Amino acid sequence: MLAPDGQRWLSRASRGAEQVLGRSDPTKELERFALMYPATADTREALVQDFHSFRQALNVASADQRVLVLINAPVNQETKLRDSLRSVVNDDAVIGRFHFDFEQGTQWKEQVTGANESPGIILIHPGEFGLKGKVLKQLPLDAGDDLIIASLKQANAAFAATTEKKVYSQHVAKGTRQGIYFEGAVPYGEDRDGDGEIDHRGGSRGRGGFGARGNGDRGRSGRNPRN
Amino acid sequence: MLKRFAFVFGMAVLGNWCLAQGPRPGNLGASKLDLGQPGIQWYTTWESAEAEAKRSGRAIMFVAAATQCHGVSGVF
Repeated sequence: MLAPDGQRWLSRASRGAEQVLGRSDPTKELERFALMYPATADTREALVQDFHSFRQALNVASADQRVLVLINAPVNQETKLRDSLRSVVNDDAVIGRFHFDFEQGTQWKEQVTGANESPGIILIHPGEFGLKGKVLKQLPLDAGDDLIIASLKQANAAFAATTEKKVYSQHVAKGTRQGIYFEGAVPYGEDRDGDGEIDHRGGSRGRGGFGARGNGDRGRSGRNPRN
Repeated sequence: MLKRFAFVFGMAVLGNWCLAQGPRPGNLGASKLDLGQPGIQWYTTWESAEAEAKRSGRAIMFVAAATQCHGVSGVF
């Protein structure tokens, strides 16, 4: 837990929420932190979410099983849309149901079917493994809030009605069988000793896990990494 | 309650392990939410979460996890 300045730690860091918030009443503990910093601005004007890349946005939307809303606008319009869309993304019918991403250019189209030539607000059904997607609907950049919200509600309902809920263990097993492989931008591994550097050694029980693939090395156990 | 925080989700920070040394792949279950129901509106970059926290004065709950498990994408 961090203070609003993003610098001051309010709790220690740990691997699980229980270890930070406790087991007895984590909600109450979370509320305690919240009460330390009551909102000083209208939360219904919260900033619109964004991703570092469309590739990651598609992956996260797939993982969360939500429709991805891509705002593909020229630079001069994107700034305005980041403001004007706040009322949309914080609407009760929208918040927590979608992911939003701003992208320039056309490279994102390589992963998506059904896109047309025009910039716009594009509702995307993420594929099972988040590597591909298909356009559900495209709205013009000047679409009004009511139209956007109605379209989002419709897309969300259709997505929920036609998508199978993931059981993640089965998803991973299926992906492994199919040879699905996604490599992120961050080197594989973990800062085990807290020195700020990614450690690539194997797991604590001798498994060849962390870092086994990312930098071309193997885990300490010497086993070949799995896909 | 959830609106009281600026949630940030550090993706892919932890490489190809599921939630660090959290559940093993075979132990991963399903979300408790039905599809289409509202969950947490995460900020998926540090920059955007920090900006929102400073704008609204809310605390940050920072969670780091990967959206891939053993290299398989589309999973939490």
